[in-house]
Amino acid sequence: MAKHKQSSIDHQRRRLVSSLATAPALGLFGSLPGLSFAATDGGEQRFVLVILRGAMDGLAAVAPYGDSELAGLRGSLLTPQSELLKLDSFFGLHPAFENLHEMYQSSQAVICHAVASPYRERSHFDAQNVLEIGLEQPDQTESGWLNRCVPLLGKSGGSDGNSPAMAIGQAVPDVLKGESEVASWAPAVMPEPSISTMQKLQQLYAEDAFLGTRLEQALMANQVVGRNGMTANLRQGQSFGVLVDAAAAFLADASGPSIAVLESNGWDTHANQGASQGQLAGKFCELDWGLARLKSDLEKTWNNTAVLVVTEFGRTAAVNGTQGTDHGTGGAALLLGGSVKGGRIQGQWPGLASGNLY
Amino acid sequence: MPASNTSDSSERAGYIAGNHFGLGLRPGELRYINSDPRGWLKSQLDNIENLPASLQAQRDKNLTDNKIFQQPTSLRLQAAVDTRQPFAERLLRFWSNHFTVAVSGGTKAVLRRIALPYENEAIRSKLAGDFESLLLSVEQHPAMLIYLDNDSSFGPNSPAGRRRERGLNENLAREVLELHTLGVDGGYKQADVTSLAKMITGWTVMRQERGDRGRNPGKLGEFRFLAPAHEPGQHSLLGKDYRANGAGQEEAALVDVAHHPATARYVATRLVSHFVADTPPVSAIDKIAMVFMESEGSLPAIHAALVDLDEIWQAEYRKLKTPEELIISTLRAMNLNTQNSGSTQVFNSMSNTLSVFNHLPFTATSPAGWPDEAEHWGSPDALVKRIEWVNQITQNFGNRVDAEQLAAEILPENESLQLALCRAESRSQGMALLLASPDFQWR
Repeated sequence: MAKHKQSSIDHQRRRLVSSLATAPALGLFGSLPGLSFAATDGGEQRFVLVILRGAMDGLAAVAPYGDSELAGLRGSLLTPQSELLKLDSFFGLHPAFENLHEMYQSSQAVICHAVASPYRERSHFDAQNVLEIGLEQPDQTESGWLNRCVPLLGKSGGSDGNSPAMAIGQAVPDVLKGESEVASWAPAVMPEPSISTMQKLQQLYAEDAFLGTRLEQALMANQVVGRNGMTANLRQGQSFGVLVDAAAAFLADASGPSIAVLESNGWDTHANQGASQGQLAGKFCELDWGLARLKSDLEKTWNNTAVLVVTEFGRTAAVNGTQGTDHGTGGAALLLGGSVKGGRIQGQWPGLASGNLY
Repeated sequence: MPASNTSDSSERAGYIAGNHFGLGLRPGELRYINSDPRGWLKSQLDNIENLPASLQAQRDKNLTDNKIFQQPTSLRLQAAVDTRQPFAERLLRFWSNHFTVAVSGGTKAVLRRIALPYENEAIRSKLAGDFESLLLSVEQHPAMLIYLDNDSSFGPNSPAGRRRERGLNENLAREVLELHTLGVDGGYKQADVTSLAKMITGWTVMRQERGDRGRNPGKLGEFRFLAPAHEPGQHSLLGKDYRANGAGQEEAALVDVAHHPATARYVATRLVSHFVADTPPVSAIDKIAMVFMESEGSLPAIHAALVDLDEIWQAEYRKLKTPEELIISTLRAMNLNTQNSGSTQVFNSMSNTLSVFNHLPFTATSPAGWPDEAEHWGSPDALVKRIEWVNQITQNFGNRVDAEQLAAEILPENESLQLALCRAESRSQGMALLLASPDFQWR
């Protein structure tokens, strides 16, 4: 979407890595420029990276409703201004982000807008690689920036199998690959049966009084969970919740990892993206609910925790021909947690006028 | 295919034998079961295989290492999938659940290593004998003694108890009476629990950390009667006095409990609940309890009497499969075993799968074992998990099987199901519909 001369999050992130390389004693965020952190209670610090794969639409997540170009570009994808959860007189969160909004208001969330990595092409794969290796171009190294952090944390990746960093998900993402040992945990995820299989089974179950009623109850419960009637992809939401629960359980353990990486798929909304409700709203709902769950699961550890939510690039400001958006450049990132000095929007807004768009 | 046995002329007999008594039919199995369903079941009772070959090999390997036998979940499940004696394997699981041992951490962490050996040593090897010897072997097994804390129970007046200022732990004695023999309504009182607890003081386990300095020699991990911890004197149980007689005292008491009419009735109720219905018909309980008393607790006689319960063959009794039973019967129906390419991972991931269903062996949350009722296993959420699991495995392995053909081999005829299978969009969808169908969730 929007062009941004100073790709702030990326610079900051790379500085974060280099600052760790030179001054590990300051801790993970001790010298991060531009973003400051609330005092922690002296407990061990925790960092959670959430990677949204597929490119989250930053303009839908954090709408610059004060930008006069927005409505024209967004058309049917525009969430009405009255429904936005206002951050200030210019930006508003998508209505699905109730919990994030609450964190923002209690100064526990920073919104970074109009940010991008140095990558300017439009390949998901390369862009994610850049995001994860933390260098200028894809495939410049085999190691992820968080993996390179591991030795600087001063914790042993000991023989007991306790690594200070942990991948929560089916595979270790690039950001954690590299020379340092990292731990991983994967849930036993079972794929959802196809709609056709479920419908045929429902017919068969209808003839069984005991099982039929229970299956109907289960399917109804699944529909209820999607808030505001949003048709969230429920099983995905549940599986992200499983990852969040697992991450929190590991991080809350004093002898557990300091770093956890979580992934969420399904953000590539080329068609039927929806506005205040719909496909993307469901994803927002899932993310928001997951972040809230992380906070509540972590309890006391939350005060020493920073959560960074990033995606590989943004999406086009204009609607495409299939009621969706295509691959773009600038997007939004979120930084939240009890150790974050939040309640602010980070970055300079370049504007949505055509000259400012990539 | 008509059954030749006149007493089971119903076409359903073979299915009942294979699915209700067994662990689920394999394709082709019906043909030879049908010639004599009851005979097929009874033939499994007297010569129960000591251990399936796969388990035996693992055991021998570990014995030569002089370690306590350790057995992964996947092999236990594999044994049930591969077995030619599915009724015997079901009975093993029934009794293993009746005499539940569950693993835990801390000072009981050793249970992780000996829970499965317990099942094989204390239960499997006793199924061709009588209830009395089953009871004794179970209650004296280190796994049970550790699980229910008897290894830390001391006679308050015993030399060891006085010296260490330790006393009784009634846990095992209570569960012996409440869950293993008489049942909670079996007519015993708190004094009987205390009395039995005193009598079984000294039943403990050879543990490395308790070096025995040459006295009471024995192997690590074996049962040990620690005479100095045994409560001295005469004790009374259910109105009968048992004189001080070393280890003979409590064995005599347990033998009497094993043959008590309340035990016969309680065990019969558990068996009938498992083999007939969640609400067990009284007439069936009466019959099994009577056989229990008349045969003096002969397990083959009792198990054969279950086969001869006309209720099961004639009426529409059904039980919801537990998750483990669903998994076993699915793998049997699909003829999956470790010889099939690619299915090794299915078996290797079994611990995960069973955990997802909250039915990992030896992890029941109470000494009462896993519940045996549809209400427990058939929750809405659990049903969705079943469907998802079946869907997953049939996507991976279901495309080489014709569901319509298989249906006739494993389930009685059902027109709606046949129609659904006929209309399936793909082979693997057909298999998913068949194995996730309500018919396949029951046995």
